[in-house]
Amino acid sequence: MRFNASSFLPLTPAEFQVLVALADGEKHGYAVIKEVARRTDGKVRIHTGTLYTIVKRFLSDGLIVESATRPDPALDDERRRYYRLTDRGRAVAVAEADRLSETLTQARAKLALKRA
Amino acid sequence: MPGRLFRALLMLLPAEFRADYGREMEATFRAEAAAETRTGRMRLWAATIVDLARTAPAEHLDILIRDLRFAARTMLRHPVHTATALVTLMLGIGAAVAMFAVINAVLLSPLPYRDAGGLVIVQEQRESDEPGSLGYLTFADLRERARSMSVMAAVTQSFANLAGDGQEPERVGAMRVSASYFPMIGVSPALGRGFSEAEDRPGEARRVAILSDALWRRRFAADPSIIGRPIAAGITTYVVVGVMPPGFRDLVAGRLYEGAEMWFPLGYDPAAPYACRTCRHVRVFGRLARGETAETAARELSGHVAALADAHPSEYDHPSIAVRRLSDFFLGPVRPVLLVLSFGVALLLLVACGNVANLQLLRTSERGQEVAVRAALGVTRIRLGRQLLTEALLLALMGGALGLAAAAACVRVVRAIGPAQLPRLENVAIDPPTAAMALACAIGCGVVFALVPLKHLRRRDAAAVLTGAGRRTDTADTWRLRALLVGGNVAMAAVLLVGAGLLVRSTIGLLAVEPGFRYDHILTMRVVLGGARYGSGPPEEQIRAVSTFYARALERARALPGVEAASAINMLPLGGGRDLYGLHIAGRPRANPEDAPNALRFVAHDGIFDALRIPILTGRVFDRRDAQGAPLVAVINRAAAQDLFPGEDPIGHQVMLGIPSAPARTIVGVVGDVRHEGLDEPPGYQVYVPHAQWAWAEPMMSLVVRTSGDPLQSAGAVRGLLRELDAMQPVTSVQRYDSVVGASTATRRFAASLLGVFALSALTLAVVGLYGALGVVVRQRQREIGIRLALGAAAGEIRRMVLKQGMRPAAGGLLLGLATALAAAGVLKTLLYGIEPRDPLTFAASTLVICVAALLACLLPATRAARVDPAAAIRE
Repeated sequence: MRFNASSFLPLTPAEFQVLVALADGEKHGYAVIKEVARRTDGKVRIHTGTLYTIVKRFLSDGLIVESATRPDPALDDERRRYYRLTDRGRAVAVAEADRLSETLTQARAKLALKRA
Repeated sequence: MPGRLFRALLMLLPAEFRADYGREMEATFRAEAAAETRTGRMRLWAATIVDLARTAPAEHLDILIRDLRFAARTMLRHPVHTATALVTLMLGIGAAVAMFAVINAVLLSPLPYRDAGGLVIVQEQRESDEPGSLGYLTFADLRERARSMSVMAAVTQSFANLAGDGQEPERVGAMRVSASYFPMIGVSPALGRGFSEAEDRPGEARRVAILSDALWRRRFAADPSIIGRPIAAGITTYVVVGVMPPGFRDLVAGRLYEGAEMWFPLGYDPAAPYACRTCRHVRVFGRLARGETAETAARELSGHVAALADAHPSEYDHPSIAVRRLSDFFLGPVRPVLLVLSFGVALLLLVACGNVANLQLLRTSERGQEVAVRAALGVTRIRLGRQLLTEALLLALMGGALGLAAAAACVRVVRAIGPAQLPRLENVAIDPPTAAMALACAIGCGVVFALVPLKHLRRRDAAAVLTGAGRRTDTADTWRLRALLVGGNVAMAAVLLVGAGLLVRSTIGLLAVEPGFRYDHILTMRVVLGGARYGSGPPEEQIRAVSTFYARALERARALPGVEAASAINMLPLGGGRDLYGLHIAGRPRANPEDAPNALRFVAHDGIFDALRIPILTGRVFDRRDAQGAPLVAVINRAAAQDLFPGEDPIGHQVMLGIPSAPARTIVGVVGDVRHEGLDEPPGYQVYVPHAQWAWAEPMMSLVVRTSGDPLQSAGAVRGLLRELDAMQPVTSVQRYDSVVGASTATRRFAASLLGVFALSALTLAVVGLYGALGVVVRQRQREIGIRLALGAAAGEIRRMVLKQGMRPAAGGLLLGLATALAAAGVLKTLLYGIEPRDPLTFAASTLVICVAALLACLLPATRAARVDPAAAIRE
């Protein structure tokens, strides 16, 4: 069956943030939370319950995979798992970004029209 | 500590989720917390708790939806299994819920009165009779003296003929009640007011009435200005003072009389001849004073009545007072029947559950490999259990929904054909408590269905199943469990079969009792004459007017085509009513007249013995000679003749009815005994008096018309001639006499047929269960059987082997069932007539039926086993 990224849209803000957080490389859960908080200046905070229900769904949908590579054992916590964005996940994230961008463009155009 | 708290929080999530992510979540949370300040940690905790509380239900729902989808797919893949289970559940739950609806409406719902627990009926207990009504003067004295009662009220039956307002004449049931009656039961009129004490006195003041809501709507178009308006009822004009609330059904009137749609003040004149102590025709009720019980009240009132007996020795018969709670009085007689039926329905539900559990067990053993594969793929036992539970609950809830629908249909049938003796039958409905009962039944069944296979699953070795290379296997353990279920079902079916057998035999015996008269081809209808023509003037004129009306009506009825005989009587034998009079024999005075035996008094027209085919034993019966003013005559029954005139001819003796000073009546004939109070009740003494010769006009009579064809076909003609005679007189209770007699045995027939249906259903389920279980065994042992046959075993041996395997649990169950029935048969004692609860014939017949049924169920799989092709079976 052909993969259709738009069938996953729209994503919730938390889902989108998780995908974006993983875009520049694999991360464990805490790193994802930290990355989201950092990138949004702490405006978006994802908590454990939400994060792992998203992780579970993305794993089963094939948007992310668990990474087999682990850091140096001295730095590693064996309870942690590392997640990596798949091509599908990246496609969904891009599609969502496009959708959001288009929404923004339309909104701005309309608002500008009103202001004028 | 924070770790433990977090782990406790994680319990909100499904176990499967926790197993996958629990440890990781904890590590992440710890890392988050470590990076925070003290205040930040507090905020983090709060946010995490809210987050988990929000996400956990969604996760549970997600799993539930997946499990439901899986369960639905599984059910659709096995339509026969699913349909069998659903039909079985529908039967069990439907019967249980319908029975609960009946019990809830009849027994459990509070009586329609305020604080009904404090209401009691007060009855005079005489040595020579059952507890019953009181004379008005006894009531008046007790009311004055009783300290254990906060209030007492007396009621009598009454009727009202509503006519003359341009509408069809209508007779409505009514009651005369003390002014204290409505305050006592705690129900006030919704419109207007109740009766005042002043209205409860003899004379004009009592001419007020309260209407039921239904009558007010039906007859008076719900006109609120009815209050204060006069309405004509019979010869009296009543001023309406109140209308009762909608939905108020007076249980006292409904159970003791023929319902009430109008209430009048009792207004007894203590000086009137019918207000005496021996004229026991007021029913007395009371409300217990605070801290009093029925027993303490009975003791107190018995003391008072003993004192009254000392003061009036010739008017009491060693009296005491029986006090019973109203709920016991009204519901007590039907309680045993309903309890037995509930026990029966509970057994049926258990049998249904046992069968479905057996079916589920079969499915589990068939699904062994699928389950083992899933277990090998890492599905946890808890997850597997949850899946099974969801499947079982879905099945049970669907069965429950079907059961509820079946119960709704059953309830309609019960309301239509249920015996009139069941109080509040009209209230039986599928209401929220009944629906909750259905849900509870379904959930209970679901849990049972899930537990049985689950227990079995835990014992299975996944690897063994996997290496079984796809063959369906069944352990000895499973067969034991299945045999236990089959045996249990047979045991319960046996208990039900014995119970139903006893009731059916008892009912057949009862219906075979000779009532002493013939009730086939008879049309009956009731007429109550009202109006000035019949109810005014001196008593003699009233008697003449009333008896002449009936005599003319009967003359015309006899001339109708198809009518063989016609007469009229005040109480139809077996038609209810109890009119007892002291029977005094002239020349044989008793020291205390109250010691005289009681006799049922029938007032009848000539031809009654012919119409009812009551045999004339000696002397003659009434004829035209016995008119008003002619010498007074009476006819007595065989029992009275034999007991009261042993060794002598009663003809020519004189008797007085009621009191020794009553007019003497010469006995002119003796007729056969007639059962009146029930086919299971002895006839007692009976006296028949000509209508024209009774002491007062009896305006209410039942017409008895014997026809050559269908009695109901003559109903129109008889009604027509009554209308021609007096169009203002309402006619009620037009029915065949066999319906009247049928109603007298309705409760027993109802119980016997219901228990019979339960027993047959349980037996069918048990036998089908046995057949199914044995069929599976044969299928699974096919290879072994093939080897045995190949090694030279005879087909007969194989058949015997399978038969033995099937009959063993059946026989065990049968023995257990018979032993239980033997031990519990005593509870049926009050419901049986003419047979002992341990009736050997019933036990033997039930045993035979079960043995034959079980044998038939085993025979088919056994025959199939004997026909196994050894080569094919071994190759498989």
